Amino acid sequence: MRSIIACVLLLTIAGSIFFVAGQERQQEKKGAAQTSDAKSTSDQIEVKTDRFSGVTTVKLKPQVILDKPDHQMTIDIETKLGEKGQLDSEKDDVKAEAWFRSQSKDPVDFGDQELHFLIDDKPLDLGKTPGGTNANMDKSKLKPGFRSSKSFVSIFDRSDLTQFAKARRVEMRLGSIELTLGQPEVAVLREYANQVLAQHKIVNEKKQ
Amino acid sequence: MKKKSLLHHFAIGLLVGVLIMPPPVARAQWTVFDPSQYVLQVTKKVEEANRWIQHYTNLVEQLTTLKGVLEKTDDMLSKQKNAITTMSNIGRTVRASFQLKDQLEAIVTTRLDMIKRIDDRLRNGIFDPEADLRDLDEYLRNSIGRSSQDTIANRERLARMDNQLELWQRELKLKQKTKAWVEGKQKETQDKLDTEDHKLEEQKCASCIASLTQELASYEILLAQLESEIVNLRCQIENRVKQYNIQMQERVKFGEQVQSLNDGWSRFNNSLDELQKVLSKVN
Repeated sequence: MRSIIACVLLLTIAGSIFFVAGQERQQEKKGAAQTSDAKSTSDQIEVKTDRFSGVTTVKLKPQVILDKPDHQMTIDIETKLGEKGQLDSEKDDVKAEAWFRSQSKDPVDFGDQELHFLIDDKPLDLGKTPGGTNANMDKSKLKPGFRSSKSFVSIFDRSDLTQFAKARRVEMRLGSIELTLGQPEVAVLREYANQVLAQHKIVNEKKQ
Repeated sequence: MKKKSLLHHFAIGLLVGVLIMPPPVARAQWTVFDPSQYVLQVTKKVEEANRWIQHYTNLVEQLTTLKGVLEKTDDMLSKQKNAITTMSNIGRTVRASFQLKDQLEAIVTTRLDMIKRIDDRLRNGIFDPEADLRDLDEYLRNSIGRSSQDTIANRERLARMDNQLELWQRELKLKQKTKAWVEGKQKETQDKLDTEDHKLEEQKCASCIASLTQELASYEILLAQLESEIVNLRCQIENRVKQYNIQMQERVKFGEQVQSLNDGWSRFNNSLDELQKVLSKVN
């Protein structure tokens, strides 16, 4: 009888040890996957602070948002925080300069050049985006077989970035071009928006 | 003999000591609070209030009946001006008595609520911080700052209705975007010009350099123009925003008032706790 009880006890202890060890290993694997993902998004964002002026620049490297055989479009964003000459009413706001650069085999008509987003089905109207053909652009920078290059610029303010910071699905329309951003690009955008908002908070706290 | 004298000396010393010793100081007693007596008094007050309600209801009923009686008299004496005036006065009295009844009912109901709350407090103990906090909550919600809340809401509505401000903000945003685009183009042109400058003398394209320089100059002019427009718009927006600044100041002031009130209340609660501890020690 005693030997049976001892056996059952031994089995239970051994089983629970194996179960816990397995779970820990799984968690470690999960953590490793998450860090590699975080690394890949953070590589795309660059934060620099000028020691002399105190201006912090947060840059998002060009992200391909449309990749067709005859048309490619990228987005890159730059935000400068802590610049001088801001009015009291502007101190709490952020201005992220977003550039949409398009290159194609044949010239693309961007229609009214109005920029719209649908962030998790919630519309965001950014109005008219100034832009046009890049006449002075170095042709060697274009993809092989591509001849036309156009760029447009828009400004995201704090509320726009707050929406991007929580975005799960982003759809976009620039003039006549409509597209849905891929999940990796959405993740990078989300990370960028969060980074800008965090840096803005730090800069504001430093000033106070 | 010696033993006896020692005892004798000791007895005398004790007697003298008792005589010399100062009388004990009388100590003030704590005020005794008798909750059961207080409950009795409150119950009496409730009964009294009920009696008053009953009394006024009877009064109104009597007057209503009187009104019915007087209506006939009113018909009979309708030709006489004085009589009509009298009837009108009586009618007014009856209506006033109804109004009085309503008002009294309201007062009595409120008082009853208050008495009930006192009664509840007595049952839960006099020092009930939670009840105090509930009362404060009610006060804050229903009384304090109600008018300032309304004022702020009105001003916010006004700000939202300010089409001019919205128009200026839209214009400013567009100008800033255009400025960003022009700056981008300027940089691109400058890069192209630099590339031309770095070429060997014989490879340089004079016409290209002239055209690029001209383009740069036109961008400079455009940027200067945009900059002045942006400054103008920002000034206009800033002035308009200053007009609404009072609203923000009021909000901050109200917040500070509530904060200081909360602090005061928590300090009061702490003192109550301490007092309660002291009282429990004494009891």
